[in-house]
Amino acid sequence: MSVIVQFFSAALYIIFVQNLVFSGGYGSSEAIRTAARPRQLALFAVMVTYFSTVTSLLCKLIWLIPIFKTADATIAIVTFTLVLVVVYLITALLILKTLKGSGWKQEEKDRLLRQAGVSAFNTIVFAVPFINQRVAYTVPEAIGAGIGAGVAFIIATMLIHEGMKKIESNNEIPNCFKGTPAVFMYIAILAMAFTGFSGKSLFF
Amino acid sequence: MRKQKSSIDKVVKKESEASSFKTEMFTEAIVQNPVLVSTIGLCPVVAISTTLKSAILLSVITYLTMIFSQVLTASLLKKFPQWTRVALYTLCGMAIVAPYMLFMQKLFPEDMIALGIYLPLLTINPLITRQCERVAVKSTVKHAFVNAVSSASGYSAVLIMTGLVREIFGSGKIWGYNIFINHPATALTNPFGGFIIIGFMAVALRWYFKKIDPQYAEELAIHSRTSIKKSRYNKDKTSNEKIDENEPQRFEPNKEIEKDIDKKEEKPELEIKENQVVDQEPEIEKNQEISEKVAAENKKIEFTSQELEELMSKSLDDIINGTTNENQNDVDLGEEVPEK
Repeated sequence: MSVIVQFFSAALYIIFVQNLVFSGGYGSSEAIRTAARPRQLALFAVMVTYFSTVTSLLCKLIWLIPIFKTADATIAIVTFTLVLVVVYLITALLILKTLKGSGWKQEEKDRLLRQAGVSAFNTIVFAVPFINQRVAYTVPEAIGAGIGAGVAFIIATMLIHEGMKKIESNNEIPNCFKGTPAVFMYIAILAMAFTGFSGKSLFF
Repeated sequence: MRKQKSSIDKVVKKESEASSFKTEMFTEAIVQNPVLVSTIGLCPVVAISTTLKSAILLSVITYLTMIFSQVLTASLLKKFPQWTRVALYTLCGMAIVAPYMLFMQKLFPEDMIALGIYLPLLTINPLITRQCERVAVKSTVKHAFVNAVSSASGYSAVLIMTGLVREIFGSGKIWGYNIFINHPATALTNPFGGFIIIGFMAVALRWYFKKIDPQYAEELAIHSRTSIKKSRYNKDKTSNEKIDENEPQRFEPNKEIEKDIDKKEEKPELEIKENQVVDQEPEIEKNQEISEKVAAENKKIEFTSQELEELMSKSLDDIINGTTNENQNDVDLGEEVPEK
C-alpha cells in the first residue's frame, strides 16, 4: 500500500504542485513547439513519458549502488547522461528492428527516429534523475516522478495549445505582441498560477 | 495566394552561399534569434539567468558547447546516421559541461550551488542539436565555427539581458552590489518572471523588425513558430492577415496598374485586324486623333537648324542665367550645396 501511496504522491506532486514545465521551465521550449503542432502531441507525449520513466528508474537503481552514494555532481552528470544515451540508442535500435519489414517508408522511419531523439534529449526528461537524487526519492517515487513528468508535459502542452488558439483568433492583440511574445506572456501567467500552488511567495 | 518573400528571407538565402561573418551574425543572432524568434533553449533563460554573473557563466558554457559540437560535427560526424548523431551531440555537451563544473566548483562554489541542477541540464541544449543538424552537417568547419559563434551570441545576448534586468528589478543589485531599490520585485527571479521578460524582449525585437522590414514582422506575427495557423483547428481563419495601413510598407509594383498598362499596349495590335475594321471604326478614329496629338506635341520640342545655331552661339553663362531667372521657382536643387 505504501508503495502505491509513494508512487502517486510523487506523481501528483510533479504534475500539479510543481508542474515541471511551468514552475521550473523544464522542457518549455519543446512544450511550445509541440503545442504549435498538436498532431504530434500524442506520440511526443508518450515518448517523453517513456524516456523520463525509464531514465528515472535506471538512474535511481544505479544510484543505489554503494560506490555512487558518495559521488559528486560531476559523476552524476556523466552517469545520467550515459544512461539516457544508452536508453535512447536501445530504443532507436528497437524501433528500427520493429519497422524493418513493416513496409514503412524511409522518410516515415526517419521522422519517428527524429521524434524519439527530440523527446529523449529534452530537459524535462534529463531533469527527473537530478530531482530524484536531490529529493532522495525512493524507487516507487522515482517511477512516479518519471510518469508525472510526462503527464505534466502533456498538461502543459495542452494548456499552451488552448492559449495559442485564443491568441491566434484574437484580433485585438497589438501586432508587435502577436505570435511568440503573446505566447510567452500567456505562459508567464500560467507559470505564475502553478508557482502559487507550490506555496512560494510571488511578490515582494 | 503566393506570398512575396521578404528581403530578410533573401538575406538568409544569400548568407548560405556567401557566408560573411556580418550577415551570419545578423541572421543567426537577430533575425533568427534562438530564444525570441525560434523559442529554443528557454529553460536556462527563464530558470537560471537571474543574475548577471550567472548569465555570463551560462553564456561562456553556451559558447564552448556550441563551438565544440558544431566544429566536431562539421569535421567528423557527417558520415554518422542522423539518429546516432543526436546522441553524440549530448555526449559532446557532457564533455564540456562536466569539466566546466569541476572548474566552477573550485573557483565559484557559491554560484555553482545557486545554479543547482540547471547547470548539468546544459548538457542537453536543443540549440546545439538544431544548429548541428541545420548547419554544421552540411557545411565546412569554418562556416560551422562562424555559425556557432553567431547563434551562441544571439542566445547569450538574451541570457545576459534577462539576467541583468532580473538582477536589477528582482534583487535590487548589479553584480552583487546593492543599488537603491527599496522594494525589489522578487517575483522576477521565478521562471514566470523570466517568461515575462523574454516576452517583452520579443516585443522589442518585433518592433525593430517592423522598422527595418515591416513584411517580415507581419509574417512573424502570422507564421511564427508558435503559430497554429496550419493546424487542423484553424484552417479557414485568415482574419489575422490584416495589414495596418498606417504602417510603412515596402514598395511593390501595383499589379492592377501593370495589368492596365499591358492591356493598353495590346489594344492597337487587336484593332488593326482586318476583320474587325467595320466594328471598331470609332476606336480607330480615336487612335488616329491621339497619334496626331502626340505628333503635334513632338513638333513643339523640335528645333530648326537656325534655332540650334543661335543656341550654340550663346555662352553657357547666358543660358544658365536666362533659365534661372525665368524659372527660378521651378528649379529642383536636389541635394543641398555645401557652404564654402
